[in-house]
Amino acid sequence: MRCALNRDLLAEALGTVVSIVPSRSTYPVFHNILLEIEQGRLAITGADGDNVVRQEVKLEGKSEDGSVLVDGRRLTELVRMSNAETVTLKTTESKVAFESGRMKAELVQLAPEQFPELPKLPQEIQFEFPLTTLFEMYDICSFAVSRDDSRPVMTAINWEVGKSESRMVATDAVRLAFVSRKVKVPVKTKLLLAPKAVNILPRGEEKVQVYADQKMVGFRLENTTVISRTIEGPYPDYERVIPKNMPAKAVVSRESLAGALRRAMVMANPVSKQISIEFTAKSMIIRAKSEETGDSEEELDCSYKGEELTVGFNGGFLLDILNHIGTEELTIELSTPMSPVMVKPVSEEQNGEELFIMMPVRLD
Amino acid sequence: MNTQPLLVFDWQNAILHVDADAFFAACEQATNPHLVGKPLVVGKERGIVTAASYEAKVLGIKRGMRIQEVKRLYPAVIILNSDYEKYSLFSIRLMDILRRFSPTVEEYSIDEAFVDITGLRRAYHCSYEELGFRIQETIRTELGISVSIGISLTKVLAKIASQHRKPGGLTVIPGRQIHLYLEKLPVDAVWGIGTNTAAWCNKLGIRTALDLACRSEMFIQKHFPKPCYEIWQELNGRPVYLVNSEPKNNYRSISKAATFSPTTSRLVIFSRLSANLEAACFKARRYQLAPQRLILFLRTQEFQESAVELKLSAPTAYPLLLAPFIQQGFDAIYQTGRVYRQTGVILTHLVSARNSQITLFDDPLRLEKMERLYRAVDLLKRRMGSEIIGSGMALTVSAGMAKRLKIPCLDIRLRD
Repeated sequence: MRCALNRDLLAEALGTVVSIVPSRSTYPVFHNILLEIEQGRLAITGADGDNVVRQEVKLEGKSEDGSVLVDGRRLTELVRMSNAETVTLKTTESKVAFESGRMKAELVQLAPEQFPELPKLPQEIQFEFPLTTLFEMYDICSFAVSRDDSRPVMTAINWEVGKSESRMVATDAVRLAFVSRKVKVPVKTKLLLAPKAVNILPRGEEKVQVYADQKMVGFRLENTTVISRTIEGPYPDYERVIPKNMPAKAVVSRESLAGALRRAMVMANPVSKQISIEFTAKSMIIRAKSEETGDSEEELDCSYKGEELTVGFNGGFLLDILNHIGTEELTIELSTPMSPVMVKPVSEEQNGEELFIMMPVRLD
Repeated sequence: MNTQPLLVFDWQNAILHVDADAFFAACEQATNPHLVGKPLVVGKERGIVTAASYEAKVLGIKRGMRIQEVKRLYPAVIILNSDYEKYSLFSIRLMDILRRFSPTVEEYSIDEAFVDITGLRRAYHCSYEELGFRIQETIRTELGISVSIGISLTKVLAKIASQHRKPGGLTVIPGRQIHLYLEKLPVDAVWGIGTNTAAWCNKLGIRTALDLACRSEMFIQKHFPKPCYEIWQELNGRPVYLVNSEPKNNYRSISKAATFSPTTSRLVIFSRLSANLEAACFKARRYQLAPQRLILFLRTQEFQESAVELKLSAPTAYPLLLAPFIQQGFDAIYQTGRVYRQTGVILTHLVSARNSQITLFDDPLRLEKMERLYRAVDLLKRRMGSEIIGSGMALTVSAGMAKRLKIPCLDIRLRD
């Protein structure tokens, strides 16, 4: 195997692949990436046991076909730090020779057969999806994904596509993010995505080809392929918990609420992050109280219709929601201090819907 | 060697250390007059001697010996199951007696306590030694057990004093006599100095407690970490460790384990584990704590442990809500056919059970009911003992068998 290529091009391709290479794994072979050259194209493949990413780079000039397995992070660092324009890679008897400018290195190579067999793109379901919309939806809801593996299904993003609209939902049982977009797809399906699968896709292209079956989902871009194991369901019945006909509603400026929350968080208990909000006819009063630190209070103008209520929140969770709302104003809909609270952006746009649900914290 | 007194005054403050003699065995003897004066060991159910009476110690029986070995070598020795309920009751009464003399009592363990008696000479019109004697006598007459008492200026010295003469000893170390007691005491016998520190001391030429106490402050600070510096201060009669009379209520973890007659029965082992969970959760609820994680462990007769850690999606100290997790965890670590002798549950990552976060997919009504149920359970347990009510999971018999054996079972339904 032998090739020479532009440093920036290679660094970018390696960057995509190495982002899924685990830094510690029970299977050390996953620390390596597979380099393959065939007919003037270099393919770089990395895997972590649940996800595989394959990035192709077109080679200019002469190259020799072949394949090799090398330490992914080390090679990426070498390429990133290189100060010359071109990088040359070449296999010797037992090593991979790296050359860039006046720097030379020899990396230990492993036989490509040691790399586990890579899955093929699933073929059962296939559709095209706008990549920018996919990222837009992912960016809005991925924060609410659970990081707790006692209920693995909640570590997934629930992605539903169909003939009328596409939806994405993420929840960790305390908060829930829902986003829908008017993107029509000729097939109707539900996929439980590992957030990583979307996150590793490089941004910039217009469309992505999606392939799926019962167990796998694949994303295909011009030079990138990602295949990921989907998470086993069933996903919790999120539609049941989205409240309807809430009796009370506040409209407030996103920026001023976020500011007030940040100030209250300074005084809140650092572990529980508990704050309370009192909703009155013309204002919201945000209070923080902690036995160790003291207490605080701030009044914020808002328009509110409904019974006067005081609700406890995890201030950090509420801020997370605010950080994923792009509009100037937002609405907070409530019913009782113990039932779900719904937050929505106030927007004129008609291309879809966004809403966030949060469960309150019981106050003393 | 330096034989100068370490201090020129006797009593700037006074700390008393109480250490019960062969506590578990003494409790058994105190409750059963037939056992008095006889060699006796406790720990039958574990297969290992957990405590031996002084009569048994004289024969050469030590803690940790195998019960079978005791049976073989000393057939006359009485072997009993341990009864922790009884010992903890004695412990509570022992501490109550100490609190009668001074409000500042630190319950250091089930059978050990530190009491700050500074200034009590005036209140009781007697010397510290006389006060120690009175405490010892009160315990002897009221509880029927013997304790060793040490009185000195600091906790470390008081502990040295109480160990000086056992059983039934009363040793007082005033400031001017500290050096006499430290002179012959090997450094590793000092409270807080372990084998590693002792080995390091030996390398520095420090062999006795006095060697350590006599070194300069500079030397100690240069060669030792902070805990040893504190011990050095204490050995010199300057108190660093205060008697902490606050009951313990900030836990990092709560664990409950139980040893039982070795068995292969899945039902028995699971019910023991459930009983551990029940007890650990009861304790957590008492301190208004709820775990975010749960560790279950099983130990085989060969002392091989298997354990599993479970992360909870919402912290809870209600065993009924934890039941499915426990079952799952147990299935993961239990191996059919193996002989198990111990089970245990550790609750970790404890958070306050108050102000709890409500979750989306749980039924709030069910939680509310659970809360009311456990409020009632806790009330019963506190009033009538923790055995009065418990989850059926902790029963060692199956429901069918219970019916056949006519074990009374209550069918409790919650009123809405």
